Parts: sequence; structure tokens; C-alpha cells
Amino acid sequence: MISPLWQERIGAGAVLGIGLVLVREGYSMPLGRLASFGPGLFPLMLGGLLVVFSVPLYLAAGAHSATQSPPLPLRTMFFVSLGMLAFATLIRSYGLVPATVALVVLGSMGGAGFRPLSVILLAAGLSLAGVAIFIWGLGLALVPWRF
Amino acid sequence: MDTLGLMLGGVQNALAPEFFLLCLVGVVVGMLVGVLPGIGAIAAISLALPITFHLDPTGALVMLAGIFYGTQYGGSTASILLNLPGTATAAVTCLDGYPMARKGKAGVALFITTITSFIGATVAILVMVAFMPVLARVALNFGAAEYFAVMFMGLIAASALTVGSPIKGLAMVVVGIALGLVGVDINSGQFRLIFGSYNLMDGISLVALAMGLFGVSEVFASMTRNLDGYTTPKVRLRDLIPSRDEFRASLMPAIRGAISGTLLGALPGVGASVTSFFAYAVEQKIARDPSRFGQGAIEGIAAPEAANNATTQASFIPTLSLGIPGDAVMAIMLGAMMIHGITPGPRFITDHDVMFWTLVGSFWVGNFLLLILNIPLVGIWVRILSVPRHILYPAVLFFVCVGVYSTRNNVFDIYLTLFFGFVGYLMAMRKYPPAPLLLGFVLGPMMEENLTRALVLSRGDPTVFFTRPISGTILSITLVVLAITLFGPLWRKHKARRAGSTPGP
Repeated sequence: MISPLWQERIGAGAVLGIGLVLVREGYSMPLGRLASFGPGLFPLMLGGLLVVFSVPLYLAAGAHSATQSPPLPLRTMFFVSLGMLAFATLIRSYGLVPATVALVVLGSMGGAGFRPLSVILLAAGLSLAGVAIFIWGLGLALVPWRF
Repeated sequence: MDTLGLMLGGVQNALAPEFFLLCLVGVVVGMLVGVLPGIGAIAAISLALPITFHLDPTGALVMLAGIFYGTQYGGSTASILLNLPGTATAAVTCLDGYPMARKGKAGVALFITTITSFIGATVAILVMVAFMPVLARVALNFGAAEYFAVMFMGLIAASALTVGSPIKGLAMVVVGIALGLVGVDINSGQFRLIFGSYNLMDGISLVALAMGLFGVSEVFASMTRNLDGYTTPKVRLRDLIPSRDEFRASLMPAIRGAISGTLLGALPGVGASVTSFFAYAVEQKIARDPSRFGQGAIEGIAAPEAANNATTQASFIPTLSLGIPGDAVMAIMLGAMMIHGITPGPRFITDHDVMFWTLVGSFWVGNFLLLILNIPLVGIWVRILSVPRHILYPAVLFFVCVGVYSTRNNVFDIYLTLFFGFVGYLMAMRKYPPAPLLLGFVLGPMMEENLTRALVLSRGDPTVFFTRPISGTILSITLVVLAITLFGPLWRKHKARRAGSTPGP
């Protein structure tokens, strides 16, 4: 686990990085004049601000590193991501119900303790609720299932 | 008075079945969301946003508003019973609410917070109705420079006045503005910051950003968090009624909180978390025996709860009359209005007067409904707190995914939401606040538009922002506040070091 001090410094670095990207993007577009902004001027200004902000952020890293954050919830992140990606992949081609089941099953694996029965019930319940509320109720452009 | 008639007409409209139902759904969902720690108003409103696309604009606003102020009633429940705030604005209520519950006075605390929430909302609605038409007329004189100045003030207030580091808040505002620029530049027609992605050509979806930053990141954080061994106490109806002393002791703090919450909350950028802390600090300062605070002082829950509800209602003022959102939630409401083709601003009250007064009427209806829901039904809300996490969070993910996908029928938005979920979690690790980012995102394009227009009109003269009286005043005050926030702590440290190094006489 990276120490809070270095986490803070990385944060300042991220702000600097975003700022530099904005400066570069802004510069690559016409800047215009003050009386007539080009598309690049405002991003350039924003990027400049972030670059400036990164300095006190880096310098204050020590003062801000008093709080220790909990360790990264890697398992949760992995399964939730998998679930959402599965939903995204399935919803277009196979419909709401398969996507929901995949999301609920995979997402639940990211929590503490996997209870098969409650997961199945939840997946079924949400699928039913989803079809009822979103497709029948609101008429969204979703298909319940398609095989 | 003309206004009274209009207001009563609005209430009458709001009682029509369709609006009443939407209001009821809104406040119930809001209460639910407010009671549950973790899911906040922003997440709930962004979730509801896609659903409201299929409703008529007034109905959509009634429901979204109901969710918003509904959360402020529910947030204190978890604060009092679990020492865990249901919403960020209810954090202060933990300080004296939880000790009251430990002393067996949970029922009284819940009752008092409901009543004072209602008082806060009432004061704010009355102020809003009285002043908005006036404000709208003043705002008709607003030019591009003034709009820019007010937005600037709002963003600075939102970032500098949040709990935590002002520099981090400011950095997040700027990042948010930059994210808002992704897509087409209106003036030149050129695509900006899309990094070659076709999907980003339409810009970043507000719903994806909000749901990722606030919803998915919260799921990451809380899915495995352990709330060990608490049991929510049973609250009986009889336990609710406070003694006459308790009632009297909470009245003045509630009124003070309502007034400060309304006045501060009407300023763009100042949110309910700030005003609730402020109200608590004021009560502590003027109390005859400040040591009671933190042990279960009833003033410590009466004032903040009045303030946060007052601010919630009052934040509609700059949003509706100037088109400048008071905080991140208002930013989403503003987004919702624009999606429905309505531009809030000085003309809003005159052009859409039926909508405005119906909305105001729905505030009354909603707050009354919440009063009824909260007092007799308090037992239900208490039991909601025991929904197990392994059911709650997958359900949240489901609503997030469906909501985000259905907004633009675009699978890419789900990827974007997941991405912002990670971003939001990393931000929270080092206390970079997400709300200023959202506010900057919504205001960014408008700020650029007004900045450029002001400079075009002044032919490139940047001093125009200070030579025009209204914009000059607003900007000067903002810069002073900014200077105090950024350099105040340094100045104090400098003085302390000086005092320490010189030996006493």
C-alpha cells in the first residue's frame, strides 16, 4: 500500500498531468484573441490554472497525509466492473433480462459472502421490476430478451 | 396580495392527481434515499433523471424536487439512530442526535428534527416566493459579465467553503469545467478534447458522470464495509412527543437555523452541508452552557436540521431566477430542465408562470406529505435501515446501468460511468471533493459562453468585469472570500509563530 504522503503527491501529479494535457490540447487549436476567443483559449487557461494548483497541492502533501484511507477494495472493484461490462455487452444483443442477471450475479460476488439463493431471487426480482417499470411502464427502448 | 393568490393557485395545481402522485413518489423516494447511508440525493436524482424524460416538464421537476427535499428529512434518521449520516448534510445531526438516542430520547430527536425541517422549509419557501420576482427583475439587467461573475462566485463558494482543502475543491472545479467542454465548441463548431473518440463527440453524459462519481464509487466503498453489531431500536409513537421544555428549547434555534439557512443557501455555491455546520456553530456560540453540545443538546439538532431544509428549498432561488445552480444537485435539476427545453433565468417566472407556481405549490404539498410520513410512519423508516447490503448494492448497480444506458441508448456511457466510479473512489481516498467537479461540469460551458461574450462586447477589455458595478461588486467580494479562505490559515499560523517566539513581558 502506498503511503499517504506519496498518495498525496501522486494526486498533485495527476492534477498537473490533467493541466498539461489541457494546455497541449488548447494550444493545438486556434487561440484567437481576448476579444474573440478561439476554441483553444479557455482550455488553455484551465490547464494553466491546474498546473499552478498542482504546486501548492504537492507542497501541502505532508500536511494532508494525516488521514489514512482504507485499502483498495480490489475484489469489489473487479466483480462490479465485470458485472457492469457484462451488462453493457449483453443489453444490446440479448436484452434486459440476461444483462440484469449477469450484472446481479457478478456484482454480488463483489460483496462479502455469496448467498446463491438470495442472488437468484434478487436477479429475478430486479429483472421483473425492470421489465415492468422500464419497458411496460415507461416504454424505454429496451427488449426483455432476445435469443 | 397578488403573490398569495398565485401561490394558492399553485397549490391547487399541485394537488391535481398527476402532480400529487409524482410529488408523493418523489418525497417517498427521497426519504428512502435519505434514510439509507451512502446513496445520496445526487445519486437518486441522477437515477430518476432518465425516468423523467418521459414525463411532462412540470411533473418532472415536481418529482425531482420532491426527491431532493425529501432526502433532507430522511438524512437525520440514520444520524440519530446509527451515528452514520444518511446524507452529508445530516452529518452535524450525529453530534447531538446520537447521544440523545443513547439516552433513550431517539423518538424525541426524530420528532424534533421533522418539525424543525418543516419550519426551515416553510421559511425558505416564503422568502423564495417574496423575493424571486424581485430578483428576476433585477436579473433582467444582468449582462454576460454579471452572469459570469455570479457563476464564478458560485464555483468559488462551492469549492472554497466545502469541508476540507479549498485548493482541492478549486482543482476539482476546474477539472469539472474542462470535462464540460468535451464535445463541440458552440462558437467555432470544432470538436474539443475528444481524443479521437467518436463517442465523446456528443460530450460526456451528465448522468454517467454523476452516477459514476457518486453511485458506483459509493458501491466500491461500501459493499464490504462492516457495520458490526448494531441493532436499530424500536421507536413507539408515544416516545415521539417531546416535553414542553424540549419543545420550547428547540423553537428559537429552529428559526435561527431557518433564517441563516435561507439567506446563505440562496447564494449560489453554498450548500446545505455548509449551512448546517454554520447553524450548529452559531448555536454553540450563543448557548448559555456550550458544554452541553455533543452530549445531546436539542439545539444541536434543531438548528442544523432547519438550516439544511431551508437551504435545500432556497437553492431553487438562484437556479430558477438566474439559471445558476446553487449546488451540485441543482446543477442536475438545471440539466433536467434544459433537456426538457426550458431555460431557467429571469424570464422563467414570466414565461413559465404556471410551471413556477405549480412547482412552488408542490413544495408545500411535498413538505406536508413529509410531515405526515415522518411522524406516524417513523417505525417503517427505521426498519428500512436494516436492508442488507448484499441486496441493496446490486440493486443500485442495476438502476445505475439501466438509467445510464437508457439516457442516450449508448453502451459507451456505461463504460464511462464505470470509469468515473474509479475516479470518484480515488478522489475520495485523498479527499478531493466530487460535488465541485459536478458543479463545474454543468456551469463550465455557460461560463465560457458568458466570458467570451462579455469580452466581445467590451472589445477585449478584461477590466469590464470590474468596471460594471454589479459584476465588480460580486467579483470583489468573491476574491476577498477566496483570499481569506486560501491565505487565512497561513496568516494565523504566521501570527502564532510570531507570538510563540517573542517571550512574554
